[in-house]
Amino acid sequence: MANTTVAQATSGGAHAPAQDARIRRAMRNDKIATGVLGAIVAIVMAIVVAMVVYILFQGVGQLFQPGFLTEASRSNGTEGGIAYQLFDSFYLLILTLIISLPISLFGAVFLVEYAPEGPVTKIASTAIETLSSLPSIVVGMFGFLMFSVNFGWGYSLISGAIALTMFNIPILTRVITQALEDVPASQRDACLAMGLTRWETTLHVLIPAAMPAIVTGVVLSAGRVFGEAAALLFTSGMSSPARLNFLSLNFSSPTCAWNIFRPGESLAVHIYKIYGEGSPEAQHIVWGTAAVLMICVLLFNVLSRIAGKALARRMTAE
Amino acid sequence: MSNTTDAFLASVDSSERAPRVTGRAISDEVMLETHDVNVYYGDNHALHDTSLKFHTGEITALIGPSGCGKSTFLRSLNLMNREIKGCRVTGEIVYEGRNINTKTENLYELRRSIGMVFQQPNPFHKSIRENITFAPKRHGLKDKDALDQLVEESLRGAALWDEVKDKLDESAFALSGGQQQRLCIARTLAMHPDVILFDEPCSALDPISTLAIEDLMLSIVENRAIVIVTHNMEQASRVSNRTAFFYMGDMVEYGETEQIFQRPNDKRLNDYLTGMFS
Amino acid sequence: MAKQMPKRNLEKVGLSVTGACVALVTLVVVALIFMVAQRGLSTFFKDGVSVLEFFTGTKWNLAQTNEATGLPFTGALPLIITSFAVTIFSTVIAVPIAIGAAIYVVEISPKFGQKYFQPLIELLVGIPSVVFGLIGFHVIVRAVRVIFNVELGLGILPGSIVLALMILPTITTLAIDALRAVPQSYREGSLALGYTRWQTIWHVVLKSATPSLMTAVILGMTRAFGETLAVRMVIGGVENMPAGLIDSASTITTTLTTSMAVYATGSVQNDALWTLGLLLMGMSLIFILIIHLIGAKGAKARG
Repeated sequence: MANTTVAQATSGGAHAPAQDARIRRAMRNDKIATGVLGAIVAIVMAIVVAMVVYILFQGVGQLFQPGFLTEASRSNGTEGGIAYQLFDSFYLLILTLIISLPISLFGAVFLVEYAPEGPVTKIASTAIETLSSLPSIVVGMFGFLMFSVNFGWGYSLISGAIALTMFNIPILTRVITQALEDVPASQRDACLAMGLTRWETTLHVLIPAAMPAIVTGVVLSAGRVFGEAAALLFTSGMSSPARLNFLSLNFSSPTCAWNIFRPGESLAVHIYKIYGEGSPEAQHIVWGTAAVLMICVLLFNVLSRIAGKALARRMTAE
Repeated sequence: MSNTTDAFLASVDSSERAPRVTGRAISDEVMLETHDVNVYYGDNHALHDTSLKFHTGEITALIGPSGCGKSTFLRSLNLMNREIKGCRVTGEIVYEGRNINTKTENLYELRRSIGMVFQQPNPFHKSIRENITFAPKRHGLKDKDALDQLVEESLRGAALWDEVKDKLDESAFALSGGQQQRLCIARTLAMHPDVILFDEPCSALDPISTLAIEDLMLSIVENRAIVIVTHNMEQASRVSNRTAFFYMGDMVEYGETEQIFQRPNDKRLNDYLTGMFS
Repeated sequence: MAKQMPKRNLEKVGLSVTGACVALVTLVVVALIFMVAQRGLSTFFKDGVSVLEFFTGTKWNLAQTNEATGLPFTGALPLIITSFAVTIFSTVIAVPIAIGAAIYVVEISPKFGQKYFQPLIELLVGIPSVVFGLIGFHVIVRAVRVIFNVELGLGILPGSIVLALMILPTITTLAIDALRAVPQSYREGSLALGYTRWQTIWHVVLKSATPSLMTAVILGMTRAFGETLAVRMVIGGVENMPAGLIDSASTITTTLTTSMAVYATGSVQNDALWTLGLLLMGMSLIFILIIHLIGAKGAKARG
């Protein structure tokens, strides 16, 4: 943007010095402001980079310790590896996506395509907005009361997954709604003009057209879900079973890894559990877990971009 | 085979087609007609008491300045206005001997018979073949041979077959703007409609593609009624048999195209034609 | 899929399925609000805790019994004040930085901002709160210990700093959107009158974007008020009235994490915790309401 001022050209004789001084001051302020703002941005960026580097620096060494990623934890988390926590984190994520994705998808379709004018839609979108503003601890408390206590499931993966679902639905619904609304209206018009229903239009034309944005949003939300802990403290619990059998298909056994009614502990919860432990080994585990968590989040971030771009390219360039 | 419409024009031997009669009415048979149609957007009374007849084998042009209601009228003919929240259409729209402007009319069947081509070419993000077969499949046509035949028939009808027959499974978005619009026309032809509505189909295209589309319209109008909304007065005089002039929500004058352009009765129409406003 | 089904019915199926999903979500939200409210209010109606005592009492200790009332100590004022303190301080720290960065990214170096700054900010958004807490615990608390020469270094100060880092990306991205929404013609008009770029930004752009910027700030505050684990890890957890910024303290969310699973459902203590949850929920709703009011006022001003 240009910095020159027109005022200089119109200054009269007797007023010139005062006006010049004011203009000079304004231009000096402009330079100062630009400098200060640039410094702010530089500092913020430096802090972000420093944080990520710090975590990785402290914890990456631990990742290569034999058994860290493949062994179970011992002594209530202060020794051993984080294999079960790693598994639980991903298993919780998958369960959450399985439940939240269809609900959010169909919900978004309703809001974009079918929603009639009037109170119904208003109430629905207010409900979703309310859900998105709730602190995750409150969602966790509700999950605890409703599922762990009232339904009797105790600390269980399914309780945690439902709590995470409630946390995830507003995010996903907003992303998918935006993605559907961004599809040009002409695509919808073309379908309807050929005698197709809104349902067919949405399923076969709109959703495929919105797919890059949807996939990007889903992967990004997966990153958020992966790192969430407050909602899980009282729903899936703060410990994994001592032994997990990955080959067992006996879904009701407490040691079956796939049993959704067993307690489980995600990576984030694990960090919270042992961060205060004094022993050096425990501290190594804490940093290693943090590094793993950080790397996974970074991967989700990068993956969402790559997937989004690849899908978009496949759709348009073709 | 080159992509340009030069090639297309060269490939069409004009002697294959009987000379098209434009400018004059050529048929008495009415395919679609309206009686006192009014359109409201909420409180806004956008179109007043419009009664028109559309004849088989003829192209009718709807002309008028921006915002005069011609597109609104066009979109009520295939009940597309119903998709807009708060839009109300009153009056009779008579097709196949019945009023289709009712709550019980089967929109999904009706829109197979009354098709629409839009201003911006809007092919689906699918292959050329799939663009054409998508709707017929959803309406129940499954036989593969029948579908293939439909694809060739529709693309020939849209004068696009020779240019794309070797790349039917490539994306529709690889085509040029003019080709995409012809694909959209082919897509509509695949439904075997009796009426085709064109909403300013050439305004996003270059002049050569525009002429190609106009020629195409003339070639597919047999046994059909075509209604075209256009901003381009020369286009209206080139292709249509009859013309209706809209002004500020009213249908002001309607008659044979030659009469409308050379001996306009209404002063507002005269002013519009002489370029006093547009 | 539905070739045999007449299209009308297909459309009805579509409407029902999608409508059911929306209904389900709405139902769950209503159930949640109802449940929290019911349990939270039972503290007063069923257990007999005085409302005044709850909100103004300064002693919170669920393990001890108040001889005078026969109920545990449920004076929540320290928790409430601590929650507000970290929220306000973190916002005060974060807002100038966030808006300053947003101005730079939108007004001064858009290309640089899009290519380098925005991806980093998005990264910051994605970092889990426990990781923030961990860094806060090891870096910020240790720094506080050294700088102020105290024993622990936990308290409202490190809590506010950590929270400021957490809400920074939220406020920044919303501020960027707010500034981008200001029509270019405003800027051009100002510059054509001879104002410098900074004068244009200060007097024209910021003023025009004020409602959206305020919304961004309030959303940041909402997130700060409800943040749980990161704060827990640096604030100390002692449920006393904080005397200073580096005294171990406890927010509403902190107390919930430490005490929730301890007391049986239905007990007075448990109900008191639900009242805290109700408080949290209520504040979030109030923040959202404020945002809606700002939005409505802004829309009216624009005409």
